[in-house]
Formats: sequence, C-alpha cells, structure tokens
Amino acid sequence: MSRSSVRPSDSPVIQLENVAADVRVGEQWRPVLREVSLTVGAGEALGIVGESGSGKSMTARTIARLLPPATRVTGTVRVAGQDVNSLSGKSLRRHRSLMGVIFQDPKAHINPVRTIGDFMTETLVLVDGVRRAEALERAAHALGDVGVTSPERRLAQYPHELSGGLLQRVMIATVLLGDPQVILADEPTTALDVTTQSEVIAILDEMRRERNLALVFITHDLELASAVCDRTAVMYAGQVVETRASGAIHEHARHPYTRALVGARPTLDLRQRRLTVIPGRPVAPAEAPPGCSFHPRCQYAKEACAAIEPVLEPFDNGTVRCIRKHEIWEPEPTNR
Amino acid sequence: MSEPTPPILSVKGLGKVIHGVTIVDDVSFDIPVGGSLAVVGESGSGKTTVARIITGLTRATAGSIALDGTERTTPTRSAAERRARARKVQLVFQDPYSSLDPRFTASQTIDEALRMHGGNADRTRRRARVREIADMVGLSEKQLDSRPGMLSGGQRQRIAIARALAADVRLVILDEPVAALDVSIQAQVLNLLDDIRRDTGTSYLFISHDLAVVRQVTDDIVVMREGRIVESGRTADVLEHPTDDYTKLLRESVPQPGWHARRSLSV
Amino acid sequence: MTTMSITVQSVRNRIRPHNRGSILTWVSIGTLAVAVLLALFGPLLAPHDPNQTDIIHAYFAPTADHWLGQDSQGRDVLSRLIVGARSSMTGPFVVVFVAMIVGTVVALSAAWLNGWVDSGVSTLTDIMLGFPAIVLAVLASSVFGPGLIGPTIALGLAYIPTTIRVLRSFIIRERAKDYILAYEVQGLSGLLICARHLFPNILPMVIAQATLLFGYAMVDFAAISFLGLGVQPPTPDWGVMVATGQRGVLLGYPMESLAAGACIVAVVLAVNFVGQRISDRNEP
Repeated sequence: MSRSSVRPSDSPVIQLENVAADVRVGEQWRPVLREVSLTVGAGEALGIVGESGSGKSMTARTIARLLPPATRVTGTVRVAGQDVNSLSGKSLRRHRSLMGVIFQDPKAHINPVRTIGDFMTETLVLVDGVRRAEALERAAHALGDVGVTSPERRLAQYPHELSGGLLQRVMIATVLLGDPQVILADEPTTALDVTTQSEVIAILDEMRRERNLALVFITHDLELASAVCDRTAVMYAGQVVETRASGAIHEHARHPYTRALVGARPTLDLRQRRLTVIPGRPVAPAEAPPGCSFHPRCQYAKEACAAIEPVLEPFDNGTVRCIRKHEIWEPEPTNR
Repeated sequence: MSEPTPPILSVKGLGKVIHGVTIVDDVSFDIPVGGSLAVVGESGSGKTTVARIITGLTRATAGSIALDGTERTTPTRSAAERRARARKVQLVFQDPYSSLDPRFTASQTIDEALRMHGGNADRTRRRARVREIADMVGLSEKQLDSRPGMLSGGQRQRIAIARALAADVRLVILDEPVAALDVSIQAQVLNLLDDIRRDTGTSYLFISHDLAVVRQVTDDIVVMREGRIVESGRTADVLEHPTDDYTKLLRESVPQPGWHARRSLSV
Repeated sequence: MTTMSITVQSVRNRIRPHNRGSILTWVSIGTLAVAVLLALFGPLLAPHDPNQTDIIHAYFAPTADHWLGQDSQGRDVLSRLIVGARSSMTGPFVVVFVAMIVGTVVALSAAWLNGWVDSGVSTLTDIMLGFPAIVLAVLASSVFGPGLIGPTIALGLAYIPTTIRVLRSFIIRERAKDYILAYEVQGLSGLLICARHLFPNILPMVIAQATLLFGYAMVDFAAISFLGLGVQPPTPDWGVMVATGQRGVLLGYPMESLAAGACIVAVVLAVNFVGQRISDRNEP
C-alpha cells in the first residue's frame, strides 16, 4: 500500500462542511456534533479517531443518513456529489445503496433466524430483482473474495454457527455485494481477537484498493487508524480537531489533544515510567466549555483559549483547530 | 538464590476438561509476592478459565494451586471457605457496566466488601476506611455517593478496584480491566494500578489481549493458545524476542505505524 | 458506539410526550384508588342495599335515585357494583400475591442452585402449564363447592408456573452478570446474594409480572363467575353481574353487563398502566 501516492482527489466522494447535529432531548436540542468538516476521495481511507462523546459514530451516521429520530443536521453533507440532507424516499434509498456500513458487532446486525445465504441475498433478490439462484452464486463468489472457504456450506449455515471473525467477513462480503462506492466501518474489529483483526483489516484494505472505494474507518484506536488509513481525523467533543496524514500523526501531531492521546497509550517496545495522563475526562459536545473545548485539559492552554473558539484551519500539511498552533513548539514527546 | 518467601500464587499442571473438550492443559506458572504476571491469549485460549479456577469458581480436573503457600486446589464449597479465599484473591472484570450492583452507591459497595472481610469494625472505622480506599483509587466524595449508572467507565473500574482492595487482598486477578475504557482513562487506571502495586505490595494476574498494556503493567508473561502455554518469561524479553511462532504472530498483529496487515488465513 | 446507544435511548425515552403520559398515570392511579376504596368500604358507600329487590322496577333506566338503573330484580346496579368491588378484587389480589411470592422464591432457588433443582422445577412447571387455568378452576369448584376458595386455589396453582417460567429466565440473565460473580468471589453466601443483590434487581420485572397477572386473574375470576362456578348470584360481583346481565342485554337493557364489564376493564387497564410506570421508574 503506497500511502504517499494517494492524494485526496479533486472531487471528493464524501464531503462534510461545517456539519452540526443536534438531538432533541425533552424540550431541548442537545448538540452531538458541533463542527465537522472533512473530505474523503475515491480510493482513499480516512480514519476517524475519538473517545466517548467525540461524535465519531454520529459522523458516520450523518454520512449514511442513519440518524435517530428527532435529529437535525445542519451544514453540507455531500456524497458522490449529491447533497444527502435533502434526500428522502427513493433517492435516499439509492443514496444508502451507494454505501456499505460495517458495524462493530456483526451478531447484532444479522437476523439470527435466517441463514447466511438469506441474509446476503436479501437486497439483491427483493430490491434488485435478481433471481435467487444467481444471487446465491454472487454471494458465494463474494465470500470467496473475503477468504471464506467452502462458501456454499457457509451460505446454508446460521449466524450462531459462525465465529465473530467469520461473521465480520460475511458482513464485508455482503456490503461488497451491493457494489458500494463508500464503505463506512464503525469499530469493525473492536470485538475481534487481534489476529482476526489483522485479517479483517487486510481484507478491507485489499477490497478497497481493488475497487477504488472510499473508506471511512472509525475507531478509538489511534494506532489502528494510522496503520490502516491514509489520513486520520481526530475528533473531540463533537468537532474535528485535527486531520493529518497517518504516517505523520504519531510524531508530528499538531493538536495538543492528539499529542496527549499518543502519549497516553502504552507502547509495545518500551515500558514507560508513567503514562502521560490527560487530566479530567473526555467531554460530550453538550458539556463543552466556552472557547476551545479542550482547553481545561490542555497543557498549553492560555487565557485566550477560554475565550476564543478556534477554527479548523490548514496547517503543516493537515488541518488543526488550535489558536496557539503557531506558538506551540514541537517538543519531542518526553517518554519515548 | 531462591527467595525465602513463597510465591503468592503457584500453579502446577493445571488442567480442565469439560465433556471431553480440553479447555486448559498443563498450565504452570508462579507469581512472586508483589509481582505482576500477564496471561495473554485470544478467545479460546483458556485464560478466563484459569482465572476462574484460581478464584475457586470452577474446579480444575488436573493440577494444583497454592495461594500464599496454602494448598487451594479444591473449589470453595461453603461461603466461609469462599470468604477465606476472597481475602487472598479478588477479581476485577472487564465490563465496568455490569460488574457493580446498579442499586448500590460506590460507598455501599466498598463498605459491603469491608464488612465481609474486615472483621467487626464499627461504622465509624469502616467509613474512614472507605474514604481511605476511595482516596487510593481516586474517587471523590461525590462519586462515592453515586450509583454506577451516574458514573463513567473509568470511575466504575475504580470502584471495582477499590472493592478488591477493601478485602485487603494479596492477589488481584484483572480480566481485561481497561479494554472497555477510553484511551485517556486507560492511562489513568494503568498508572493507578502501578501505584497500588508499589504502595501495597499486591500482586497481579493480568489477563489481556493488548500487548502494549501488558508491556506497561507486567513483569512476567505467559502466552496461552488453545489451553496450553506456548511461551513464558519476562515480559520485556518475550515481547522483544519472541521464540514461539504464535507469539510472533500476536506481536506482528499489533497495529503500529508502518504496519501492513497481511492476508494469510482463509477460514 | 457507546455514545450512539446512549443518545438513541435518551431520545426514545423523551419522545413520549410527557404530558400525555402523566395524565394517564394519574387517571390510572385514581381509578385504582377508587377501586381499593370500594373494595374496603363498599358496603358503607353504596347508596342502596345491593340485595334489595324491587321487581316492579326491573330494568328501569337510570334515574336520579338509581344512577345506573336497576337490574332484572330491580336492584340498584350502582350499589351492586360498589359492593361487588370487594368480591371482584379480593380473589385476584390473593392469587397474585401468592403466585408472586411462591414464584419468586422458587425461581430464585432454581436459577441459583442450578443442577437438578433447576431441571426438576422446569419439568414440574412444564407439567403444570399443561393445565389451563379454567379447567383447574372447574376442578377446584367441584371439590370445594361454589364460592371464592376453589377458584382462588386453582388460579393460584395455575399462575405459579407461569410466574416461575418468566422470572427464571430473567433471573438467569441477571445472575450471569459480573457483579453477582464478584459477590460470589467475595465470599457472600448464596442466600445473601439472592436477597440483597439479585432480588432487588429483578424487582421491576416482578412488579411488571404481578400487574399483568392481576389483569389475567380478574378476567379469569370474572369468567369463572360467569360460568356460575365461583361466586354465586345473588352475591354482588362484577363477573356475576356480567353473566346475569346477559338476559338484560338480549332484552335491550345492557346497563348491568356493560357497567360491570367496564369496571373490570377499567381496573385491569389501570393496574397494567401503573405497574408499567413502577417498572419503568425502577429500571436502574
């Protein structure tokens, strides 16, 4: 995978500009996304990394328009050139068919009383009018693509007979059957063993490159995102706070939160004396303080940070949301 | 050369077979007093069963366990026996959302543990001790009076750790204690665990699939696969120079900058 | 996806417009309060003697003196309804009370002790479930004769297995949670764990089940009275009144059956609604 040669294309497949989302709770509207702007080009993989309350899952749902009831979205959400927010009915369904969504827990998204074959061919047969026999053939082929042996046997099995890793492969195959342009993967490997995770990631990667798909990969694991995606976006309290090429994010992150996140993770090759702790805890968008949402926990915070709301701006081959970005030197992370 | 004090936990030839299926096979390891041992493995490795055997929840079909010098292979039968064992070994679970009684406040949970193991300490002494333990794990007064439903994952884990400490325990078995926590909270809890070990001399049996966490928190490591130990030794050594193929595979599967996932297995 | 699920959940809860919910709750509580009041003090509150016949005025329409008119014997329908509350509610209450207590204890024991206790209980409940409640009630009536005793025992027996079944599966799920395991490791005795930790956490379920059963019981009792097996006429009882009012319906005077039926429905709905609220609020 030659990361350096992939550049966001001129007409990105996914484009989010100043997207905000609120959910109605009782009488009030509670923000869940405050300001999200990002782009993904065809064939590109973007990782979205964040902790609880960061809004990473919500962002994916906004792209797919799989939103809970009583949600309002403002800003521009464009997929394959079309404004997603204004869609409804048939055009919405067509839009959704452009996307494949892979969730964290495959068991929760497959009907346990139908066979794998039924699950995989459902859309083909019911929506696209493909004949069942042919649909099953395509399904078997797709299963082969993701490395499932004896696909005919698997098609006749039920979800509970398959392991988590196998089910996730089935999900990927199903998604690919729909011939999507975009794949949204929301923590697809969190519930899997690390060796299985490795396999599933490899499959996703291969499929993406073969079909030139755009991949949005959501995870809490910064290392995983950096390893799998060309670019990584870091979210905090409902905002994108940084985007950067994955290779650069470990050593050259430009947002204090990203740096802190990198420092808080233990490393495989070295036992640190003490992990760098970010004081406090991740904040939900509704609880964000005035000014910069991260400033109460930030080691570089100054008075101005509590007053001025930083804007996401291009900086150093990426984007950063921090008013002090020019001032903050890049001290080498001490514990490395 | 060997220390006069016996290891806090000594497991020899542990085995468990259920309905003809071997879950655990010939597992042996020691944990020195104040030591920290990682048990690493994926699903089906048997690591959780080993933990259950040590805490007395399941009976081993082979092998022996010695806790703090005393033979404790048979599972506990009576509540009194369980209580006696509980003073020696406690369990901290992975899921901070289901490991606490949702109806008890943090202070009630810790107090209950104290009452079971603290003899007949009166109320005021107990309350002071609850505060003491809460301070050790970093729980505020307000959090002490809260039910789990109102606290975050990290805070709930602190309660779980406090509950284990209340029993004045010698060995704590932690089953993926930080896997469900945010990264920044993970760091806090890992630092806390380190501090506690240093300050109280408690030993850890740390079950985890996360090799980086294991590197940070443990001195020794045991790698399990399909019920057997495939490699063991000092954590630093095993992770830096793995000799077993499976250990190598595990190590290579860890995402790192510059990592390329490889497709090798077909299922 | 933690944020997601939390968000969706809170949205779902709030989506129910608060106002409508509270009105219904208050109406239900009110209905229940009235019903209980009547059950306790019925005879004191009735405007007329429920057994006072007045054949000349049989089937008279409602008047100022007789708000709901008179039945086939000229008796005041309203008074009979009021006095009948006691008879109509006592039976179901006793049945539910007994079924809940026995059912909970047995379910807890089965789920906790596992092994042969559990299998034995399951088999026994399966056998008992094979007998429909009404059949048991008929059998009981033939043994104990007419009156409340027979049906009460029969329905109690009939409801216990259902309760056990439902509670047991719920308890098993709760028991598998880590915190119960933690208490086991801590050395707490099974009895203490069940009492202090398991039971309080299944209480919402128990309450929900109790309210459901109350509804069934009321209807079953009414059916039994309707069949002439339980409370006998001329004792005022809602079920009996539905039965004896049949002729009135055919003749064009439906008030007795309707009113009695409406009382049954009102109480059953109220109990269900209140039970649901209690259960929801207790959800940790």
